[in-house]
Amino acid sequence: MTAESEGKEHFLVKGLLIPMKRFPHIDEDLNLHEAVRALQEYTCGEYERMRYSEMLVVDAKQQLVGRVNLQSILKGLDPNLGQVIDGFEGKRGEFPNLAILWGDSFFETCNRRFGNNVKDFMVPLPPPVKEQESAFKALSIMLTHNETVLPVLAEDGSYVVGVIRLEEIFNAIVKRCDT
Amino acid sequence: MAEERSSQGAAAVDDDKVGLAAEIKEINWKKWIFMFVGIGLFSVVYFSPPWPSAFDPMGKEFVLSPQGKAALALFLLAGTWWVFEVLPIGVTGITIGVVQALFFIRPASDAFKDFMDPSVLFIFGSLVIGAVFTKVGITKRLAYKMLDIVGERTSMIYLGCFVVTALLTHLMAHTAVAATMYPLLLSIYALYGEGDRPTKFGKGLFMGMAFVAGAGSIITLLGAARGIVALGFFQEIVGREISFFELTFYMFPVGWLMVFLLWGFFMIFFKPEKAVIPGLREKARELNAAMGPLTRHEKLAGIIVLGVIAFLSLQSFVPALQPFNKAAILLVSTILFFVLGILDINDLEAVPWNIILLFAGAMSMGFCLWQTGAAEWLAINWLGFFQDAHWFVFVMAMAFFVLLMTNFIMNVAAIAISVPVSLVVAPYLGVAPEVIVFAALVTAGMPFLLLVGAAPNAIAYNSKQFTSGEFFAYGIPASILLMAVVGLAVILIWPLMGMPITVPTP
Repeated sequence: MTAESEGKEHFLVKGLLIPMKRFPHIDEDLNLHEAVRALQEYTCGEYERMRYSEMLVVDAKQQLVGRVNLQSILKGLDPNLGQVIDGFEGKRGEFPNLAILWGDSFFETCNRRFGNNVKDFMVPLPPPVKEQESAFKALSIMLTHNETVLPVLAEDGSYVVGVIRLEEIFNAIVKRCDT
Repeated sequence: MAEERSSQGAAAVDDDKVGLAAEIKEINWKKWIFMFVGIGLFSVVYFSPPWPSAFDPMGKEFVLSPQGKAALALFLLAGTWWVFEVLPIGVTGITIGVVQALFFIRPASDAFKDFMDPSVLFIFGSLVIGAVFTKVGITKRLAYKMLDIVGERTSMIYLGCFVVTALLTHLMAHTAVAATMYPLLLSIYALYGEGDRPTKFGKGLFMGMAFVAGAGSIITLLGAARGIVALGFFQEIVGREISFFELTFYMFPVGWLMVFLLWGFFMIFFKPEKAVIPGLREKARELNAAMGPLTRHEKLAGIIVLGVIAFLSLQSFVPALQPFNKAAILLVSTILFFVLGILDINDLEAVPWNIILLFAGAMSMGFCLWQTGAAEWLAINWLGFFQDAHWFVFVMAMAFFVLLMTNFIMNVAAIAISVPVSLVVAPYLGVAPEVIVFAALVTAGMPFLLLVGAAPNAIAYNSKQFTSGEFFAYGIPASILLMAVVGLAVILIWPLMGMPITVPTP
């Protein structure tokens, strides 16, 4: 029995993970333009749609330091998007109607920011899981933290072997429940 | 079948050897240094031999009891921790209660009871009102409507934004107002056509909003917590109550005079580069249309808040309403918000305890200074500086002291130390206690020098339109303007309105 089929049978992370080499990961020194190009390299389906909506970011010492996703990139392109104000005494307001005012200036602003380093758009990593752990643990973390991708560590925790996504967990669960 | 290609941007990343970067845990030296500076100051004062008594001009002796000395020590500790944010400000508030109880400065029941003093619950109620307005969108509607009214001239946009900011602070905490106005100002600035590059218009718009939020917040008890805190001390020390309406009556002309003077100030120092923002009016109309008609929740929230304000104001005119406590009346609005389903349990859970505990701690600190006799002892010692001075000099000096303090520490903390002390000094110099409290509240509300002075300053700074140095530099003339307005109020405006200014000296 291969490690993957054993993982699938016992519903372990290792049976569902995407190895590092098949998941987008980029150097932290790239600018956003290069990073987006790298993300768009990964396509699937007849219309060459984007396959992934997030990328891992690796530093010069081969350490995983963060990630960028579609939301973090778009938020970084214009500060008006999803403004979060620290120090507000109480409830946070939402201002979607203001898009009427700043919609025109968005493309002007985003052009200038496209050359910025990818680190400006990076967000912290979610909690990792280990490859021998149950996929239910990964699912629980995803649902608790509202995440769809988690980094997967080797059993000894020394390096990152890949990622596990909600889509693969979902498919595996549906396959079993639907028999 | 899905096609896959490798990343071109993986620049020399070896896929089998990627580690997980360790979380960088830097030791926050500043935090630890100032934590121990605070503890050190406390220890030095607490364990020092008894301090000499103070004597007033009549020769009456004021002994500083060990508890009084400990109260001063505690203020030094809390002040240090607040200024340098050694701990979350609310936790420093808790520390104030804990130290009083464990070092026997005041009985635990007294020290902790202040944490739920009616004034603190009043603050809680006003924060809930802010949350309601944020949730139902009534404040946004007012702000968007303003854009439609003021049109496209930048000078009028300044004025419109300032007036709406000040108006909203009559109903909700100025921090919540700043947080509501900030995204709108960002959007207006986006239409100015300079990207996010700093301009005079940007500086004026954001700094002006922060300054005016302060100026407006002095007008009613709902604008900031400092008002109800000061009135709490006033009642404890003077034995009289200042009503909701009375505060607004005296503060209204001063606050609005300051708003319009600040508009002039910003038109002089930050005259916008462009006279108009073309297309703004059309977009403002679109924005108003997108808001749709008033919702049921907006109407209910408006009626409840205005009802509470009307009741609180009528207390000054209808003797039958006077016995009702301000906090209890305000909290009726809190209960109604939940009864009518405008707020739910999640909104209650979102109450910012850090802020509530800060005010609770400040309240406990002020009462501690007063009840242990430390405030009297300090006041009598300071009296020497003013013994031969005109009463006006004393009032202005006290207002100036609060102005400096409010830039460094939370304005309630500035109020907690200065109001009890000033109220003791006042009768010796023939000054009525009302003028002390009102003058202190005017300057406490307007920290124009440092970003840490008030949350609206920090919110405005997020715009990256100005540096902290610029804020300080332009804050100096603005603060001078403020002191001139305080002087005018003390000498002319308040006496004309009938406020007692001087009393016979003992």
